[in-house]
Amino acid sequence: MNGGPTLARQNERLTVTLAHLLVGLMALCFGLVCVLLAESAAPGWDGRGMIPACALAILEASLTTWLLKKREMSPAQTFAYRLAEWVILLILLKLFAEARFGFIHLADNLRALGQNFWSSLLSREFVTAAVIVFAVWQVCVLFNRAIAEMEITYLTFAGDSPPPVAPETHQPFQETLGRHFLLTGGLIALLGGLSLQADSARPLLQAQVTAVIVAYFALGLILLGLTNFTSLATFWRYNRVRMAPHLSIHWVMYSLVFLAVLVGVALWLPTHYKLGLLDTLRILIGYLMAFVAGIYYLILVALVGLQRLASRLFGIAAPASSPPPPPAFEPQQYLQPSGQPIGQGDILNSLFFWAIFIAVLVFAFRQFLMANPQLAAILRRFGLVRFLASLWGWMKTALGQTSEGAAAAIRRGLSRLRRANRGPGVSAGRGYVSLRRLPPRQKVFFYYLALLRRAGEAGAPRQDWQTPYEYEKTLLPDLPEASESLEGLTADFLQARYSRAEISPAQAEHSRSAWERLRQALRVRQKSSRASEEKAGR
Amino acid sequence: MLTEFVLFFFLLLIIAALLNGEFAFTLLYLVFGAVLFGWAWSRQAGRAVRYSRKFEERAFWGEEIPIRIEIQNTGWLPVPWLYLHESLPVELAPGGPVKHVLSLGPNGRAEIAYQLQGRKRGRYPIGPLFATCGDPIGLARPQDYSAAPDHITVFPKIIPLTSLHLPSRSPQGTLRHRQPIFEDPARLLNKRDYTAGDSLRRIDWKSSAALGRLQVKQFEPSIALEASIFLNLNASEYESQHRIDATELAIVVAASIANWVAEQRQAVGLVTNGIDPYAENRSVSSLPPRKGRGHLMRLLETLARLQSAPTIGLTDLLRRESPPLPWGTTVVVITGRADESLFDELIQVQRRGQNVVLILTGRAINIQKAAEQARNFGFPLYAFQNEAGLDIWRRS
Repeated sequence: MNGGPTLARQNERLTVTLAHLLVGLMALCFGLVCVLLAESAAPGWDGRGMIPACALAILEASLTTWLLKKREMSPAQTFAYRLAEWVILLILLKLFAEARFGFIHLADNLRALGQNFWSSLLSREFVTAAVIVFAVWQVCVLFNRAIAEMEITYLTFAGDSPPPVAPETHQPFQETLGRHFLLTGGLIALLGGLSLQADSARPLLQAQVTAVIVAYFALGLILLGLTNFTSLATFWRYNRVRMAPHLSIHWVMYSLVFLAVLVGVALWLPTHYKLGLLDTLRILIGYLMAFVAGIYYLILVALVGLQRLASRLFGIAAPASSPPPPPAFEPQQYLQPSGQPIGQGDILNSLFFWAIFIAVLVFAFRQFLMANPQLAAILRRFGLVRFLASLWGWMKTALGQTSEGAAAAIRRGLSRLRRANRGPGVSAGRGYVSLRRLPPRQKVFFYYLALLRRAGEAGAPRQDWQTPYEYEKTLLPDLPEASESLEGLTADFLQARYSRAEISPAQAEHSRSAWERLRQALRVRQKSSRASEEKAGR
Repeated sequence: MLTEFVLFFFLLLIIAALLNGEFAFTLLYLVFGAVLFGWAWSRQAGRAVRYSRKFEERAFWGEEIPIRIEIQNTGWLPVPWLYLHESLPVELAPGGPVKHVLSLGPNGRAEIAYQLQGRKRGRYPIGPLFATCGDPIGLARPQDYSAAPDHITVFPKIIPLTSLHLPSRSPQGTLRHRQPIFEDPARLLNKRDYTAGDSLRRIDWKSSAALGRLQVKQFEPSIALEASIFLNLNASEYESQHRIDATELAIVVAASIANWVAEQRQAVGLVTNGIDPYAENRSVSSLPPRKGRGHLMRLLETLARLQSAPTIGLTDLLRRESPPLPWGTTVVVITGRADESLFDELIQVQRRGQNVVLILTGRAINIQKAAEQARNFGFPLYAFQNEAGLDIWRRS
């Protein structure tokens, strides 16, 4: 199951290619958001053809990273290489930025270079396109460096002569990639927000921005999953852990399912609210009060009913009291800033939104405290925090005890019901013993009692005063061929009957085989005694 | 990466608040959902996994012991990856622990099979099994679980003996004997002509009538061998330099003798002053002489678990445990040293009508003197420095 260096090399190539592909797509998402922002912020700017330009820049960034890695260059050489690369890129970009609007436009622009060099060179089209392409290129290079780090780790530990120190389950390149993913994600979200702010009237912009940003995050999570697998696989391979053959396929499958569910849920959950947090809390408390009042009303109705029943039983005139009227519950009307009332659906939506938001907040805070135990220790010094912590602990314990008690009660009830329906190993309906269900100790009893019954039928019944050993001595002369089995079964029975030691299934199995041999011997004995009786009868 | 998470969280809040970007909440759900779902997934999936080991709890020395671990996911959530680390005793698993990683579908099953080698007697823990389960993305911390260990007993090495002559005075058993004093009236051997002095009770009247002259029945002598092995594991009664080898050899000798006696369908018991680390108060109860395979297994299991320690001396043990034994029982004493006090006690045992066999294991000092004393008192003494010494009982 563990592959050799060749397989490791193949896996490494596949993983790295996949990682580059994912990074390319993420950088493209970044470029798309940049284009959307540029289009929103600069109304006259035309983003046509920017996506292929970004894709080419991504391809170039990946290729140059690979080339630089292959040719070990000094920092000065790298700088010169990058400079030359960017001069060529800028020239190509200039040609591309102007050629988008036709070759006549390009020719005019080139001609204008002679007259007004700087203003013609740094045209709005070119500068915006150059900034976007550079940003995309930079994002790609940033991620590619982390992937190169991953490649080196992989090759170091999966090679022919791995280092003597075992790798960690969580590698530094994972940290780097995660950091890049979040920071670029933050930037992309900010750019998306700015583009929405700049042109809120543009149709479908919200949907486009959301789709692109969600795609970036989904791709990023797949990338993190891939690096997680690489890191763990390196650790497992180094430690000679046997890996199941389809682990990687299952990994990919579960990652995709996980992401699909996650994206689905994230898109489905409410992202806006019409009621503020305090209003929502007020509504929640109102619902709780109505619930308590309802319970109180039900108790009152039951009490009045009981009072009337008692009066009838004892022949006393029923008091004139009548059941109290049901508590009135009128949901409060909430108004939007525009003056329109907020519907029940919106209230529920807001409730849901705030519940999820607070849950996320609490979870994030908890994770943060777990990762920073010093901070948790400092916070515990405050009386209020201590009180809240003890209150939480008490609630948790009480809830745990209640749930445990309920579960135990249900278990007890179920087992009582099962016992009532059928005894352990005994079918109440038909009255036979189900050997399969008997515990090992009961099985040993069963085989020994079966021996007594069968031996009694064969003419050697056990006397009431006989101990198992005494009975064994009585039977031994009759069953010399099965003496060992008889001794074994007797010993097993004595142990099962008189010791507290646990009887293993193997021991019950031993008793069963002893009983089988004894039954055979008893059958032979019974047949021969019958034959001799018949002979004597003739 | 936590700092980046916190920064990202606040950035999203700012975007949602200032830039009216509702998608920020979607991102919030997506990223924190990845952590929360990952955590909940690995937690739930890991809790639903059940582990069970299938193996024979007892094994003979030198045997290959196949062990199967059945892993079952009882939940509906798949387990993306499950790293299993089974701790194993070095004595049985020279290759170290068993390590596997696998994935399980909803209600999925998997099996891990490996083999141990019964290379050393004893009771060993198999496990515990440590399991780590995580989500595929890896943002949440993996969850650790463990399954309790099971135990396996490896019986001591048994050397098959063929010609072990243990003395016995218990008449009328199932073992043939040379001395006519142990004649068994149930075992008719032959008939011969009457000679003066023959008991009248031995005359076979039917054959006498048929032949016309008096015929006397001859019976085959037989004995019943009931042996009780007194195994001394008091550490101070062995040479400190060779204690481990000598006590192990003593246990091998005891197991081999017990096996031989049981094969002869005779009763065998065990009395020892060794300790059982797995017993409640670390003491070992004596096993009275009994017949049968089941009893032999119990005896071997006790021998498997025994360890030498500073405990009560052999003479005290003999004084306490030998008097209740029946007359004619063969008391096989296995120890590392024979001194005056031991011989004094053995004479007492002999006077009670029990037979004594003294076996010294390891590099005991003054063997010659002990052999001479044993000869004087009339009981056999054997000294074994290693297992090869037992060859004298293997020759037919």
